[in-house]
Amino acid sequence: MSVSPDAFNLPELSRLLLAQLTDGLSSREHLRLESLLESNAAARAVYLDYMHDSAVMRQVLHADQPDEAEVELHDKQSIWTAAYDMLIQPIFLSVLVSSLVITTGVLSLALIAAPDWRADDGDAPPYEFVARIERTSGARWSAASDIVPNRVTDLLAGEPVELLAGLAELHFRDGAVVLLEAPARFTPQTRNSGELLPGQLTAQVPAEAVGFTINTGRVRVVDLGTEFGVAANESGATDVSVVSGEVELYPPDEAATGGAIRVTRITAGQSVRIDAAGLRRVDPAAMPRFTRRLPGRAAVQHQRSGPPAEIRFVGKQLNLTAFRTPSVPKLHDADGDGVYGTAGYYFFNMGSEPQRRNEAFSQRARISLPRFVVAVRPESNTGSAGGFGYLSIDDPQADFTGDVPEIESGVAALPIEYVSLEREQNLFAIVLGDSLPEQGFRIGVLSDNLRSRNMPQAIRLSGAGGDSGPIRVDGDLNQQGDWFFFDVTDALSGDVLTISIDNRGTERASKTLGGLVFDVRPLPTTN
Amino acid sequence: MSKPPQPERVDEFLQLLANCERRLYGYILSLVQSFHDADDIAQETRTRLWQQFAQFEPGTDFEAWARTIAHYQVLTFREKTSRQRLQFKQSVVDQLAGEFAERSELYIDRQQALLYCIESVDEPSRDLLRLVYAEGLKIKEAAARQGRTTSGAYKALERLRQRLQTCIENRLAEDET
Repeated sequence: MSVSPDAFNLPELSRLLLAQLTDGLSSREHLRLESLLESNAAARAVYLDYMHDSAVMRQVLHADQPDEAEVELHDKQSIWTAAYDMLIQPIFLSVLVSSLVITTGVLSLALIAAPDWRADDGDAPPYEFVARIERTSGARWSAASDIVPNRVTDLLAGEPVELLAGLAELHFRDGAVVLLEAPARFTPQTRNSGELLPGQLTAQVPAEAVGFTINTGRVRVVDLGTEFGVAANESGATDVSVVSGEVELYPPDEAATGGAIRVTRITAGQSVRIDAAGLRRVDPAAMPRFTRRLPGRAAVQHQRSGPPAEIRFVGKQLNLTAFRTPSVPKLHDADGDGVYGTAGYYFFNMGSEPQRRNEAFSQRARISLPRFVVAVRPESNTGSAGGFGYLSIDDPQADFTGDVPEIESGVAALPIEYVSLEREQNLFAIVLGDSLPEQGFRIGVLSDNLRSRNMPQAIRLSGAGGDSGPIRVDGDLNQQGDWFFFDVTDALSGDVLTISIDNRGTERASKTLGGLVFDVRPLPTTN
Repeated sequence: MSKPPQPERVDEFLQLLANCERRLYGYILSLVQSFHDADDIAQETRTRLWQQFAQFEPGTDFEAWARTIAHYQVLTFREKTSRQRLQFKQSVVDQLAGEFAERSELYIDRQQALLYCIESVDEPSRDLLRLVYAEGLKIKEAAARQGRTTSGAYKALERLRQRLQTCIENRLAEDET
């Protein structure tokens, strides 16, 4: 019998199985394994084979135990046949007599117990992981939150977590990022909403997650593409402050509030308070101080439970704009279809006029992430820019089967005031999720799409224990588009890979990169 | 009321048990996910099997009968430990139990293939397998015993399992041809 494991993430399942029989699983990992097994017959087949093999190894690998297949039955010392002596002991026979009554009752006892479990199953909600704790700073969680310290943790819909101290950054499946400040009790509700009661948070919502909603019991804060802060107390009284963009405020339940607040739109720089008296605008200076970013570098946490990833520089392709045009040769196309970015891409701030500088990282980005990438997010000072007549390249959103139209590329940019000419700096990070290809994947990085002074001297892809080392990118600068490719294998869900730049020896200027492409080498077919 | 087993049937019992003991242990392990718990349940199951052996009808499927007894031991164990252990919900346990039974015949050949493949691994790797699976050490403890890092041991074990899986598949494919 052959069951294809294609329909699920085999590396993830393997990791869970290995941990289960050795170091144990957290309750969330246990639920994750359970949901994989429940939903996928191929995963169950892998699981059962794994358990069978583990059971056999447990029995045959004792140092003083010969291979059972080679010995006579009565010579065996296995855990089963060790029963032989016990079975013929008088003490066993005396126990046997008294236990017969118990024995005959075993089946009926078990049958009585079984309906209770089945009833529980019928009422159990479907499990869905909707958000993930990616990073923390000084975080301490309540015991009931069941958060494993220093490990990226998936959160279930409807499962509250309580942050007693510090900060925690939560990434929602649809792209919103919430920075939670202690003390806070927060419940992810869907892939794009959560409940805060009480506590304080800021939310950064990229274009793809517009509609992200925070409920506080007294108000629903619905994002329209923005960054905003929310603080709620035990009674539900809520302060909302918009940093950029707009949000709309809705009554949590029209009937309950009796229409105390109507739909209200507030914009950047405005603040409101909603309490028993209704909604009123307040001076932003009177609002709580919202923390917008975690202090320090990106990798505050995430200690992996698996082996380190391997990151290897593959090579480069210089002077390429037609990266989606199959007829133009591709030197490092992992899947061989003549198109870079078949699995996905992230291009920064694309399009021509107007000129745009110091914009938010995801502004005007053209994004189609592979299913195994949760997010591409900026390091603390990275923004984006475009519209200055940068290099035109194939439009990643165009159909690449015919003539591919071009679009002006943009950049992820570290502004000049933050650029160091003395040390490496992180530019942005790639957060990996489920469904990672068993064979790994390839990342291509676009450089040299604007002036040479804006190029770093070298780039590096690292994280999860892997490191490409510094790769020089300043050798052939002519603003014609250079691509640098890296292979990543053994990565795990939750890993964060970082693109860092080294500007030593370069001219002082903002430093930039143009975009990312992802490709996956097909698995070899077997007959 | 069950009749007590006849002492002269001990050899018969042990022979039948020996033919399926590893699969039966695998069945239990797949339902409770812990070596220590599986050991306890296996011990109890062995006792129950002998106690009820008089009810076993010679010529019928001993392994299926033994699985039924083991299954009830698992259910009893789950009930006793429901508040102390992470457990799969009952519907998942039922699925796994049913599908293990369906695959049980495949495991006769798979077990032989696995034994062959274990023979092919080098001594340090075999020692790592022994520490983790036979002795039940955590990876950190096994790593310390072998004088290597935890992540190194983890990676080695993960690759070892992959190698064994590939070896088993190849071996089974050879047998088929």
